[in-house]
Amino acid sequence: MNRTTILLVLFIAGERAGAGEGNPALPFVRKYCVSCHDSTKKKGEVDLSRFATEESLVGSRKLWLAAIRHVKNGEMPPRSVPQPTPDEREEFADRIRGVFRKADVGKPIDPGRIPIRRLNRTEYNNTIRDLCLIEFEPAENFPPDDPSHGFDNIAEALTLSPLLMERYLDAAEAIVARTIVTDKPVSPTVRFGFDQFINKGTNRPYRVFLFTSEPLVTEYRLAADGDYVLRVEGRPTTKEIPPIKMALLIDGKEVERLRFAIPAKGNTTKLEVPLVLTKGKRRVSLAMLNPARDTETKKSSLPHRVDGQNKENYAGLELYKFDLVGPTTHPAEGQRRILACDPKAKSDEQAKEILARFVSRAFRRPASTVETARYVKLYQRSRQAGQAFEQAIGTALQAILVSPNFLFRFELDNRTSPAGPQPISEHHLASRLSYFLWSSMPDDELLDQAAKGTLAKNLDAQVARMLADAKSDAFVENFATQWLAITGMDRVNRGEQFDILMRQAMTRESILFFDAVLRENRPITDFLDGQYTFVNERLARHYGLGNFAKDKPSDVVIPAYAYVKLSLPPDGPRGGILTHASVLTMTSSPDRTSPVKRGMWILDNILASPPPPPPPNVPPLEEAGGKIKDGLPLRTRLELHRSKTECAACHAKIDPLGFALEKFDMLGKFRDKDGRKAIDDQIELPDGRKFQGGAGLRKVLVEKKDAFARCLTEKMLIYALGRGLDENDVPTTDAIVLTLAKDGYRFQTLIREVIRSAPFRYQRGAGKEKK
Amino acid sequence: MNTIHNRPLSRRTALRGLGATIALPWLEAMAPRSLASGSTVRHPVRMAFLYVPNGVQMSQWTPRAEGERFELPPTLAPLANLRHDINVLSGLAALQGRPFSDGGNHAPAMGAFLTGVHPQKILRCGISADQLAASRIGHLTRLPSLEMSCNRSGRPTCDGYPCVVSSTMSWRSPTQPIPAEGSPRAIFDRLFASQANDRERNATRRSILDTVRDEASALHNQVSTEDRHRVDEYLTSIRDIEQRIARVEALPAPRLPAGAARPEERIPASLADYARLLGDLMALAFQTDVTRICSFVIDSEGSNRSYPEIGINSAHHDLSHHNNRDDMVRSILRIEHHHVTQLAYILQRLKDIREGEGTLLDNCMIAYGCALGDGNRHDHFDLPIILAGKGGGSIRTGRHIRYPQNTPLTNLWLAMLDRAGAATPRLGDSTGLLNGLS
Repeated sequence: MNRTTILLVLFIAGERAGAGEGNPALPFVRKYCVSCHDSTKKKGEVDLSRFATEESLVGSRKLWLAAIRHVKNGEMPPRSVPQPTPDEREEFADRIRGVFRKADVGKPIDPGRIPIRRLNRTEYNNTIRDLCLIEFEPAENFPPDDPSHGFDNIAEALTLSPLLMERYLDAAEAIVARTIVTDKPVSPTVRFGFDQFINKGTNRPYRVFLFTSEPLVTEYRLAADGDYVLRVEGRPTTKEIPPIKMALLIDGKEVERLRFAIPAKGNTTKLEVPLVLTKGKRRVSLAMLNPARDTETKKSSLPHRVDGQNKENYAGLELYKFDLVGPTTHPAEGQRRILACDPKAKSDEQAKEILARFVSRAFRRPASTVETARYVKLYQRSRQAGQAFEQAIGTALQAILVSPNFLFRFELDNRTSPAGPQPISEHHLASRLSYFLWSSMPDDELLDQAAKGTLAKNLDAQVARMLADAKSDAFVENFATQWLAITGMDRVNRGEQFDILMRQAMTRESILFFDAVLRENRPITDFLDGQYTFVNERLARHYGLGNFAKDKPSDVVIPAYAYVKLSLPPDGPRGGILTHASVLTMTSSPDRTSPVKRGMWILDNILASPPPPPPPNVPPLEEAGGKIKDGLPLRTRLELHRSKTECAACHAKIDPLGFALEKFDMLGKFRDKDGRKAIDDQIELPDGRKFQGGAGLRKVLVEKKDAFARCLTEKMLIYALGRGLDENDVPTTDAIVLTLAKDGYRFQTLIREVIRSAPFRYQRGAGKEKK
Repeated sequence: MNTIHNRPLSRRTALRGLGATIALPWLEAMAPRSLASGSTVRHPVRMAFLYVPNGVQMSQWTPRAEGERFELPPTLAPLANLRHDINVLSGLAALQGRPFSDGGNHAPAMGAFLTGVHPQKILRCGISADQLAASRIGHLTRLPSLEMSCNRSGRPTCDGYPCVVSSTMSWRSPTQPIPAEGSPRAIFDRLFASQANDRERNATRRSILDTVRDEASALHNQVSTEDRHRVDEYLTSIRDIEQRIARVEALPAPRLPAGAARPEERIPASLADYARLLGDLMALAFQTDVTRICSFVIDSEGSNRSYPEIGINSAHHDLSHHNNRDDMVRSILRIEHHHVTQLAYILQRLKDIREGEGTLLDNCMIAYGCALGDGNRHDHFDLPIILAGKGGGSIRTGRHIRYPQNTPLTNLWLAMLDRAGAATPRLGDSTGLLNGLS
């Protein structure tokens, strides 16, 4: 990174203020504030009438930042007096911020501070995977991490309870038992993934479906004879069919029968089949013995269902994992790496070597001698209590895995620093990077660079390397699903059609779309109007796309087991993330669409301008416009709602956006009518602009791409920093949006700029504690 | 309550050398025979707080008559067989749950329910009644308190607050919410299985905890004041676990009654089955005296759960803003009735368990209700509250008691704490003990 970029991100950019300019917020203040906050009434000891110039605003910055907050949150002016529109509120805030921005040009950006962060469940699982090199999800039984600011990795909300601490202790015990195995040799050296056996799909399939007795065949090239384990994970696609029986064949010979029923626990059945295999090409196949659908005729033996969507077509097995692991050797790689030590040294010296290395890896930075000594002492005490070498090491490892320096990310190096922004240490930078992009600990390369002090210098190259690593899928899944608020889809009830296959297809579409924008470095405006999407057979049927299109069915045959990229007609209703079934479903009520929820979703997640919360004690509607009859269309009912003044200002902003999507039903399927009523998706915005439906909305939103860029930037900063944003972060967001616009809104530019930003690489010095 | 004087000496010897003074729980089986058959035996008082969201239709909830001759309105009809075991309390309020200047009705309501403190968006609230009780009498049992929820998987309505504010009622301190557990199996294990007394394992755990406490104490001096509370959480969690290990070693293993089995890990699909299962676990925990304090979120505040089990596919919160539309009111009334049906089941479970001369329910105080009154208007006063059980004989049941408008709900919590041997002068916005219960 060159010096100019550093200057750009660390100092507030822009044109300096000219002297003696007037207070640009004065019209708003005169209209809404001075009836209470003038020099005579001075309500709450606040007099806003005395600020005539820009300088005067800058001189009372705290006061005006509080004013912005109150006005934006709808707390001021009080409900008893005339209310500004949401746009007036925005403009008020923007004008004052503009004054501060000008006054701050050239000053250093306050990077803020990130509180101590506990690893959340995902981060814990991934960190254990990378630290101990085991395939195990120990956090499965941890209580869920409650989100804040829309994300589950927010420092402040990641509290620790005694219950969780108990689970940490249990998990540490289980992890060590799997990592240091002294009695039996079971651990993988080679893992053959799922991809090996599906060569038909284009987009890294994460599961396949089997519907008929036609076997699934895959070939493994084994380098050695030995004991292998086949790990199979799957479930029947529907509970209407009897448990599925599968034959497992090696080189055409049946070796095992597998049974998959709807499991009592969790979503899937996990099976482990031990196999003795010889080296060379081995053909492993899986065949269903009791298919519901006939292989030849493709007809199902299940009764036809009139209510659902040809459900019988989906009676089969859904397979998530088909991993051949082996040959088992002893000790496993994780164990070998953790226990590596000088064979000639005394056992106490060996313990010291082993623990010093593990503590530093677990703490993601070089551990001090005092820190290491604690665990060596525990090892020694355990030996004295009669534990064998490996067992005593295991006890020390358990302690390290429940230690605060492992469970939390501390960044203590501002302790002795002077005032002003201080760069965080190279090791902390490595952790910030890896938990942002991988939801896991830094790898050897990052730690090496940090140890050499070269990480900040090579930031861009490292980011590129990290994004190319498959571990960055964690960023795609965690950030995308939380930004789009489509997590928890498997826990909402949307009726029969919304079964596990449908839910997964919907989630997958959005994840794959996000993945494509990221990997191909597309402009972020694709999220608003990208004329392509990713579907499997189920979703294509749902949408009426490809060979399922009503009008002009294409000859593209969409497979059941994989997702394909389809381009969408440019004039059609679908395009961008907004018309994904996932989003449209999660912004519906269980029994109907909700234009208000959809409108709010757009304001929250696309335009970053959520209206203030509704006033307390909203009076019932009949007081607003006579008794509401049950039979009135939703739109009419909401228009009545809007006729109430205190609701009007915000709902005029919310509702039209949602109504533009009314032709998508509560599961995101296109429709012309709501029941028997025709749907009117002609929309007029408060500013008089008119458009129609999803296609029109796309155009409107693309025009607001800077607002969207700001929104996505804010969301990504929150996710990257693990904290909410405040006024100090406005210059950072401004600068990123500016760079993004100059660079064609490329997605990877956004990621890079977030990482380059002052809040990501710096922290507030100890000498300065704002607020 | 003071049972320690009646304790056989042999039990005390087991405590020697623990380095911790631990009072012992009351288990009927351990009592001297003369006492067990006598009428002077006092069983421990248990307390539970059950939460249902989104307010209720008060017109179908509040009995018209006061005192003993009250009729059961339609929503309370499922409690017909239990009417002599309950009190319906009207007029209570949780005014700290109002939106104030920071907006949102649901999250702050839930936050204020057991604390009497208005929660802040920076994750601050107050200590909750159950945790206050646990800090006073929790050491008497193997588990100080139990926190459960039937809604640990969906995203709660967060109203711009950290979502934990609307997913739990329990706050151990103003900065430490206690997340509720939702897995029936994990709850059972916490109560019984993980209580296994493995001395070697306990010794290993102790030395591990010693080591990491050392590290945490060192960190405590290094972190900034803002971060110190997180390190404190860590340290208190460690201390909690050490105390639990000590209690597990000192106390006899709980004896599971015949028929009590470890539940499946599967989470029941219908709320009815789920609430009953967790209710069974609560009854089991009380019966075996593994804990005496329980907070139980039947559903999170603002929840949009639908109830296909009773044919309602609309969302609960959506329905609560019915604006008096007949069809919506009819639906939400059925949900409210459905909730009370589950309460009736749980109370009947407690009543079916004999304890001394009476029933387990007689020795319980089960509070059930919501921090919103009329959900359509988001009222934070005139709350629907039921207090079931006789609190070990300290509560006269079978009445509808109307309190003056806006009597703080926290006064009820104080009165319950008082009866459980965890008396405390203040809780949040309390103004004194709620009178009229005895």
